[in-house]
Amino acid sequence: MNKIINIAVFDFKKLFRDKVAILSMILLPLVFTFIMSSIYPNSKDIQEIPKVGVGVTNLCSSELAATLVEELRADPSVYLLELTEQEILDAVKSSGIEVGFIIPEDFGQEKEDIINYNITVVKTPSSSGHSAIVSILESSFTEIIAKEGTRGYYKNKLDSLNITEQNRILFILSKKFDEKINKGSLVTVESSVYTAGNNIKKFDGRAQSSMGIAVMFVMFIVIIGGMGTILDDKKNNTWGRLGISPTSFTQIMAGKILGTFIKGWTQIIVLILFGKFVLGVDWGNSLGTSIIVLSIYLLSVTGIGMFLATLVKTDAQLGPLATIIIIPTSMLSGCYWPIEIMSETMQKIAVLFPQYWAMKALRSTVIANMSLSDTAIPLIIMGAMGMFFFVLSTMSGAFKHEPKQKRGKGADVAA
Amino acid sequence: MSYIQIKSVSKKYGDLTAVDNISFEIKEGELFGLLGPNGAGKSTLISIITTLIKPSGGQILVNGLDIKTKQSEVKKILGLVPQDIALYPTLTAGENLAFWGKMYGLGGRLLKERVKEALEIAGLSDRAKNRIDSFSGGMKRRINIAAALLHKPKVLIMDEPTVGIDPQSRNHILETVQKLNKEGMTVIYTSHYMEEIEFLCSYIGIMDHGKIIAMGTKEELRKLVSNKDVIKIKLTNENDAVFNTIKKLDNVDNITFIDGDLSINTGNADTVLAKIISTLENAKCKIQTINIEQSNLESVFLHLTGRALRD
Amino acid sequence: MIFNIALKDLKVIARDKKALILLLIMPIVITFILGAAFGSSFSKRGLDITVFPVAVVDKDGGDQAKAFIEDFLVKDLSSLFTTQIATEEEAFNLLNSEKVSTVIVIPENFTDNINNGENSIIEIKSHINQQFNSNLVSSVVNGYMQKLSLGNTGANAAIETSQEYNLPLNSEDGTFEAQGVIQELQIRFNTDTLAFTESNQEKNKSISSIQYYSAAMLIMFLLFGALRGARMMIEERETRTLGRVLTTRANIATMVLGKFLGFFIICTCQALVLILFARFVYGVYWGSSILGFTLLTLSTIFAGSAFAMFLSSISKTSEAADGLGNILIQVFTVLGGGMIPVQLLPQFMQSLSRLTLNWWAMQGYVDLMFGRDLITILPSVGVLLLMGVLFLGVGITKLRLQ
Ligand SMILES: Nc1ncnc2c1ncn2[C@@H]1O[C@H](COP(=O)(O)OP(=O)(O)O)[C@@H](O)[C@H]1O
Ligand SMILES: [Mg+2]
Repeated sequence: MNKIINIAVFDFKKLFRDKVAILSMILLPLVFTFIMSSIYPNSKDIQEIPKVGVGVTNLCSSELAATLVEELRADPSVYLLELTEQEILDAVKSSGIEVGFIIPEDFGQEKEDIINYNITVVKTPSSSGHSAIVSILESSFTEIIAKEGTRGYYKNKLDSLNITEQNRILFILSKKFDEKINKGSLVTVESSVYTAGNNIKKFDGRAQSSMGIAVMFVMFIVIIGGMGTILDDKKNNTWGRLGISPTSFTQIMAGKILGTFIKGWTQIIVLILFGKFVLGVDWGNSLGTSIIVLSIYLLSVTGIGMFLATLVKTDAQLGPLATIIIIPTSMLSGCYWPIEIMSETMQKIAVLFPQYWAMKALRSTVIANMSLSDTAIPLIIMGAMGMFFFVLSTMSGAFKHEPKQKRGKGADVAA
Repeated sequence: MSYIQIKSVSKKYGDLTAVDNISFEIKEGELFGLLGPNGAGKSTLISIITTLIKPSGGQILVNGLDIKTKQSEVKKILGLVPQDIALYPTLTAGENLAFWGKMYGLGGRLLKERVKEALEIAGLSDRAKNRIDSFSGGMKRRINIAAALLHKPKVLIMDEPTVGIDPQSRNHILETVQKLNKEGMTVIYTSHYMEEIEFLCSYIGIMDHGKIIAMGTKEELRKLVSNKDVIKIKLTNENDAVFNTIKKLDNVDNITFIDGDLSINTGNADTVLAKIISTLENAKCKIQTINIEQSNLESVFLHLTGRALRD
Repeated sequence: MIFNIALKDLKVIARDKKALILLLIMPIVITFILGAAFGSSFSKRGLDITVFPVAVVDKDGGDQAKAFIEDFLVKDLSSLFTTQIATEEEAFNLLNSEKVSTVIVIPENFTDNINNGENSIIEIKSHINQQFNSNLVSSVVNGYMQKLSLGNTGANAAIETSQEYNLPLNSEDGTFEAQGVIQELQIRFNTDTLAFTESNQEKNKSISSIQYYSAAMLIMFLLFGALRGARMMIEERETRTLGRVLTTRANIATMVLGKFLGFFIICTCQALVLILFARFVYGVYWGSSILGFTLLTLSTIFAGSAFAMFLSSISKTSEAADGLGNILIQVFTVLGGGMIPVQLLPQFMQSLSRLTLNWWAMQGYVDLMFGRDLITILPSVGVLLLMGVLFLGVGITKLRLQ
């Protein structure tokens, strides 16, 4: 046991001798977490909704169009600018505004039996914020239509009864309608995430993106910084020296795995603390379960790292190989963005990667406060993946302690 | 009394037989030298003894313990100085030694003492806090040796410990080996430098192509070529045809030519020398210097294999 | 002389298979994944949604609830999801085991409350792993409920007004017919809907995600390619061949320019391969202005190589340059819109974006892909060249001081 700890501790020490490794394994994920989570509002200060720049050109003089513009202006998430058509195009292009609307001259007018309710949208193809603005417009529009419709229907009735004073009555009707609207919608819809226990929780984008970055970078540290040390040992000939010391292969591997574990956890802890105290990420109430999930994920990734280490000869080769595997699979597994935005096929491919299962389990524990039994399936799958690669790599015999085969008379030439 | 017994050990790599059915014994307290050119199979044999490589056949006993079944006991008895430096470059010398000490089960105050001792032996006590990657080649070699001494092994196995270092470090190492041996440590020392083996070792095995081709004390080995001299002639130009003629002369056993140096093993230098010189002159070879040397391990090797130790 | 140095570097890198994988295969793979991942969000998420199960709990049992479930959820939305009616307990068990993605709970007295003009709340509970589907359910239910509310709001306003003025609005029994308003509004909701058309100017030339990410990855891996060059330069310094080269007739400027030319040629080859691959395998349209495209790509390479030069001048060891470069390139890429659209980032980060050469290059490529001409991208080209000159200048000065 002492020897296992010895290997782990010195592996950990060696990591800290490498400043570049520290930078790329601790600092880089911090920067990434910071940038990626800044997309989502802070769960603590939801009230402070960031305003989105919206441009409008109203070419129509109708009341309907004017009301629509006012409704949009009144929305707390919109920062409205009235611009000319050309200004809108330019502003969208330079990202000055998220989206622009052009209301045509004949908006709301009937043409060949069809009323024109067509609005031109100007946005960049990559804009994702525009859909929220569009739905604000749509719901304002529906409200206007409802008011208009009620008024029209009522007016018809009044007409049929030949009632004078129509204007005053209709004014009262509109006033009553507005009063009711201001009291809030008759039926409201409240969406929340189903959580264990009965607390209501909104989906937390920050937590999700911080989790994703942690899951991805842990894989880097485990594979390159953890299992890469075996290759490092081979390069330094210390692998053979370990082999002749009175330490069994099992002890050596246990030491390597323990060292990897410590490194992985160091990174996770740094990321969790950073998320919590700098970004205000809520890591949920099932911290214990999350720890188990992350530990099993670490194990499964360790298995994969071990396997990758058997495929290459030096740790200089391991780096690019790991990068080529980790980044694309993490993207597919939902570490960068919610997995649902990808096509079905891509989502099906994602089940092959441990990051997918880790994200799935972590969403349950961090956001939905679920318990261990709820995450059983992801845990079992991750465990099985880890075991599979572990067995595969030990069987491959690549970790034998045989000394490197010399090429030619290298040693002599050096003399 | 033999401490290490090697019984018909072989190791094959595909078609290549790196160690070919070797058997010999090493006595306790001996300073055993294993001499052989690059690729002779020395390191492979040592790797087998230290359990790093499984032999294709044969058996090895260390202190009566079969290395196959009593691996961990044997590992504690042995200390290996590997041919290539096996240290962590980013750790300091002290940290490296502490690490390896712990891998041999040392701890606490004992470990501290041993690390201190080992650093003294290496002559690098003042550099304990420096990283290995800041060390010169010779200093690295010395720490490489020190790391094998921490657990006070009964048997110290050194695989070419002086390759590629400055004369000062080399002397330091040779002296250390002698001292350790005098204190009672059994030492196996491999090298392709015959001077080192000749200087250090009481008992010597000569290895080539996976086989032990001769074994004995220095004197016994010399006897193999006792009545023989080596004529070394430095030439300024060469001529392959003439070498064949010389080879066919009476009393010429062997001839090698490396970089303008012609070495001729002969039963009697006095009788042959004149003939050789005239043969060379006939072939228009220009002679720079001529030396007649007494036999040494080099000539033993030459005699046995027809090749020089260093090619 | 300059050319000699460049040529030597080219030979070294051509032999490095590992680098070739990293610099050519990796961008191709990542572009593909990014393109596939965001493919749906750039165009409309297509019809490939599979129908998913939803559970509804009816605690009300009244007409309004029935109409909502039977006419709307079960009938109208059958192409989107399947609806199953369950008790509260059953429903949450199904949700917990992810057998349904969402549970809709209709509260008690739902029908009565609507008829009496009182508020009620529909709860939608989603499974954590089914956020996308749940959002879909939420938004359609929201739409329905908004219209339902507005219909009843209109009816209630009408009734109250009639009562206030004592108006016999129904010709037969003299009371106001609430159903009439609701029906009228329902018709109007169906006929009067906003329609959005994308602006004419860009309509025909929207950028697909694979296009966008082909450009983003091209930029990122050009930087990686240049970094590779920087590494070689430092390795040379480490093995002291730089010193040897310097003792020949080459002076530092020649040396730096030679190296720089080497990076430049390497990156150009790399760019060529990536661009052609994207063009012919992914069918990426790089714009119609060949001159503009070439100019932009060359200035990107120029800026990238100069950046690498700068990196190698400030790093002591090749590992340091490599590590630092890796970090900076990835951060630049994220900031410059290479992984997620810049618009998603908060304002202050968007301003930071403008400091990265990725952002400027990206703007240029996007412009070209929209079919715009050379003139539009000149600002991008200008900034890139300026950045390049700055990096190169600092790089040479630093090396000279060493
Ligand atoms: N792992 C290996 N695979 C194949 N051949 C090997 C291996 N290790 C050593 N050899 C070969 O075995 C022979 C003996 O090598 P070695 O024991 O290292 O020689 P020495 O130490 O005497 O220089 C050499 O020809 C070498 O190429
Ligand atoms: Mg050897």
